[in-house]
Amino acid sequence: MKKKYLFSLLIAALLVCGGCANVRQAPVEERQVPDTAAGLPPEPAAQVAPGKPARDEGDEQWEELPGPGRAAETGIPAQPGQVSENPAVLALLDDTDLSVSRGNPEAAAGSLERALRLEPKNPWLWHRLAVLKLGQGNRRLAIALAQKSNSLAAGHPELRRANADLIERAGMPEHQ
Amino acid sequence: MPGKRSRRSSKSRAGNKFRYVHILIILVCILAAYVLWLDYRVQVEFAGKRWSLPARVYASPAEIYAGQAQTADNIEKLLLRSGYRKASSSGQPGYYSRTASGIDFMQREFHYWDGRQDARLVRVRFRDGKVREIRDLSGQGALPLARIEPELIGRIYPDNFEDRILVSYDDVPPALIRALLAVEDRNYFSHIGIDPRGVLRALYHNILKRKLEQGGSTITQQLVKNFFLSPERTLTRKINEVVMACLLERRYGKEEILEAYVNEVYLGQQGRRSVHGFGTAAEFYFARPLNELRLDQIALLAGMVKGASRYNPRRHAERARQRRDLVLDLMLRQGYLDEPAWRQARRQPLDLSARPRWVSGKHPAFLQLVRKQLLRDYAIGDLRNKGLRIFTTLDAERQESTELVLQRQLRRLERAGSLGPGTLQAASIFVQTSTGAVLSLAGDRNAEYTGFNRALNARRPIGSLVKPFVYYTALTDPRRYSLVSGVSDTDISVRLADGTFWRPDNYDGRNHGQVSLLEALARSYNKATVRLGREIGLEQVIDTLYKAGAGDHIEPFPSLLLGSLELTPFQVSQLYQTLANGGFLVPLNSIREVLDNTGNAVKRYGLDMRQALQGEAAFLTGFMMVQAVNRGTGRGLRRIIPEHLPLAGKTGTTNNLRDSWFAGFGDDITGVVWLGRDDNLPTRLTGATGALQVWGNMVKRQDFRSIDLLPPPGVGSLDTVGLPFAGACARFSDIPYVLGFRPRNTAGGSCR
Repeated sequence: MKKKYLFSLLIAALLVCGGCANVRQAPVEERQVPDTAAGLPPEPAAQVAPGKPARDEGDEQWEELPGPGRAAETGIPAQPGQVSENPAVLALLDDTDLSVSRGNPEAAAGSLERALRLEPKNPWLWHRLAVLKLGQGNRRLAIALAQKSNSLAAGHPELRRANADLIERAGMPEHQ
Repeated sequence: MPGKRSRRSSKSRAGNKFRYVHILIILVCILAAYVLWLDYRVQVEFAGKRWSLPARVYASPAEIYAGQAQTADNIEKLLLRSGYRKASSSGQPGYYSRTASGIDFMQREFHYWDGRQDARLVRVRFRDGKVREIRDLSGQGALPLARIEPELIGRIYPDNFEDRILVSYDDVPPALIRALLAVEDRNYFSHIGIDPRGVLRALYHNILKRKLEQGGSTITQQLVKNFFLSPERTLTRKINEVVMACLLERRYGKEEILEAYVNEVYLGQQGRRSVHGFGTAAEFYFARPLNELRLDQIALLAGMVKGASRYNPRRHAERARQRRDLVLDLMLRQGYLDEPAWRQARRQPLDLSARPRWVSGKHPAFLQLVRKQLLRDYAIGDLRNKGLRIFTTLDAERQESTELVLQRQLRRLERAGSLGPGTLQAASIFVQTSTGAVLSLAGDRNAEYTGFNRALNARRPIGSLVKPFVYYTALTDPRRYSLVSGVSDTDISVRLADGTFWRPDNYDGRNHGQVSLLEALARSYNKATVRLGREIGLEQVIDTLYKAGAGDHIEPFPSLLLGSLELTPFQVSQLYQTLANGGFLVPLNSIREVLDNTGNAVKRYGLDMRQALQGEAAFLTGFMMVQAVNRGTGRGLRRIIPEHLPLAGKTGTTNNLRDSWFAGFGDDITGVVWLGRDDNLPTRLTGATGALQVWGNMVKRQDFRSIDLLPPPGVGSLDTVGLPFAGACARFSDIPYVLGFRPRNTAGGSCR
């Protein structure tokens, strides 16, 4: 009798606390990884979310780069065949352009670096990356990349001129 | 007085009753509080349950593109490395098939930093040792390039060594759900957390069969047991389990609970690491993702829930197979399977992966570098718990071949030099020169060793490896020095700070008189180098070393000129990367991108670079190192890898043959090898008889292009004919010089 009483009370209690508590279907959260980026130290133009370009002080400069179309993006007009004969590299350059036009220079840099892994001695690719970095406001790196492009551009006077021009625009003398 | 008595007794009865009610109320309150507390625990612990997910570290993905020098055999090797299997036709992700003209493979869905690659069927055709064409047969047509999903090379574990590959409910194969229902809890979707009918049925079954074959615990109860409770078998624990199971069911949906169960259940052990969840188990036992498993493989895993070690298919194959067949039988009996599927599944072999691909790290030395570089940006807890995906620069193919060569060569050198087996230790690093990407790294002769990493941490005198930086420093002053400038290789005595004198010797014990810089470096003459270093000044040389990335503080001792300074192989690699890269220092790097656990980009480590050394002088120095290989101290390479010449190289040996070094570079690869002993006793090896041999054999098995000797802008080439010493130096043809500083006459010199 007493047991029965107790048991029904227990059930009642169960129902009560079940009912009075906030019956909200709490989401299973184990797969939500907190935004790691939030806790990271700032690093120029490296911390990005997709579709969200990381831009620093170079924003305005990026917008102000002269000229329309590809010439403006690459610094100099280049015949497609002149840049590379490798269709994979050309495809990655197309990806680069696409990312730039979508306002995502970091993704563009990623595609260019992928192309550079395939053709590390291609001075056009280094130049392209220099232009991109200048656009992102990283002057120091832009100059180094243009110098690197120059060092590989023995047979390309027009490319060397473009590099010299970029180095000048970045506001520092060519030889430190 | 019966009336009085009865009144009194009824009063006392009423009092008793009152007391019972009191006690009851108190008991109810205690019970209610207890249940409330359990409910609180269920909520907090279940909702807040965050499994520790180790960071996953991937090698660099292999790129295939039209026109690439490539063979079907090699692509097959790359696919196998990434966990693909051969099939007669490649209809399922993770399978490939060979065709007459090429290879087909069904790629898995994979998240890269620059976006998701969907599952797709790719066909690669070849012609004349090259990729003729890559096609996406699932729709996109011709592809300019394709990546093979990179190999998982390791994990950064939480302290408890837990590991999990989480699976969301939508990704759980329906067959697995059916199998679990069939064996573990057939009324799962209708019960309230406990299943009295199930208990009775299990009891009846067990009595009938006279053995404990079925348990009455529901899936919810099992989850509660794993999540919240200790493993001992007591009545209180059982009561808690029942109550909490009901509470859990009341608060959460069936799918959520099942998802948690699928990810939590214990399915095996490897050393200290336990295998939790079906996603992890699929990789552990079959080296495949869960959604690629066949019905029989799913049944095998479902059967292991009952006892992961008892039904461990690697240890008890027959027992595991019987259990699998029982699961299949139950599925058939309960209508989850039709008979042909049941029959086919029962016919399948166990088909386990040959070895657990699931090891903490295949290349622990490289992983240590990754970890070290990650710790600049991440807290260790984030690396261990948040399931980050780390994309690295490791070239798995190169890494494995260097590991193999290291083991073989060290054994050979020990035999040849009458050293006991295991006496020698080693480190090696190979990097892509232009990007500073670390392609392979060894920190011990045993590739699986996880302790002291000599590549990163062993500071050793670098011997003659310092010399190119001495000569480089001289060549930065083209008014004074060219490759044909003379220097005297004769006795020299240097007064040290303590008043004593230092008199360096040549390795061959001889003086060579007046020699050109080119010859002095190519033949690694000590006296000439010390004289040159004294001429240009110790501070200038130290400045060069700092600029090239030496890092640590360098004391200005004269013996520095012969390499008394101590650096790690990693630091030496940085120095040589800068030199090989035309003076452009790219900080050596091992990480490209970091993604979070769901495939979103978190961070990209972009290329960094600076012009640290002068390009012209760096080129001239590289040219001298080419001569060192052609006819100087590095000429041993001509026997090992004649096909890879020309390349630049420098040997290094320290006092009493304690350290044996070699550093060299070709077109875009720079590599450093160090050999020595942990007890710092002599190795009986010079740079040429030790490290050079290892380096050469490593390069022999790598994709390595010889160095491009085309002078960069600002460097001209000098035909030695017509110069006063032309006769003697005729072998050194086309000597480069800095434009505007054409060497007119030299201090003489004998070009032996």
